[in-house]
Amino acid sequence: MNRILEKVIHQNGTIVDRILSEHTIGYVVSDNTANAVAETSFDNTSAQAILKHLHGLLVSTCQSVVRDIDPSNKLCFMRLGTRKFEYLVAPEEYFTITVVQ
Amino acid sequence: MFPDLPQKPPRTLRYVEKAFDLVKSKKHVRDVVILNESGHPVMSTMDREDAVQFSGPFQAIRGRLERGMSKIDPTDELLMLRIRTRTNEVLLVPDSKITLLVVQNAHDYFEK
Repeated sequence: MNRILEKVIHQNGTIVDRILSEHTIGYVVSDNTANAVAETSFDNTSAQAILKHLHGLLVSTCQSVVRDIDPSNKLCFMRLGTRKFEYLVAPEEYFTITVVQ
Repeated sequence: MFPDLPQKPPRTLRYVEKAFDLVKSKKHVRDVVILNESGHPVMSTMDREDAVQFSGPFQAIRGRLERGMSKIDPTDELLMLRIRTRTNEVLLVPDSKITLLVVQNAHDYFEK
């Protein structure tokens, strides 16, 4: 699975650099099947918290809500604005990516 | 239309109506729903049945999200949630006494 991640990062090198350069505090990339952190710039505690509460609970809840309202629709992206940070969550097929800025 | 519960200042009925009209007049906005603190829709551009059906799941999202945020960072506070689906975009804005739900058309196109 990490080979897929490395290939995706290699193919989108410019996008990855742009994401990581401006105003970014950190990122978490989690594996959907194993429910584990694949790549992160945070320490393990923060990454596990984001993995459990954002990727696990919030993404699954929002996906089911979108399906409930319109079965033909699909969750593509989420932006979570709080007082301190902004969490950008992108649920993909194999990975879920969160950027904190 | 709906019996409005008494609201504490500064979230008066005039404030709610003003916010509702202001958001509704924006370009690309399709639907607006305003819930009170009990989770019932008090103002909506949808039918009442559709508004109730629409607001229930998002109230669950709000509860789940606030509990999650308190675990990730106890000093942080949720201000806005933006959910981008394939065809539209839903904004969830929790306020002190009301919750604002806005459905608008998406500006860009997700190739999925």
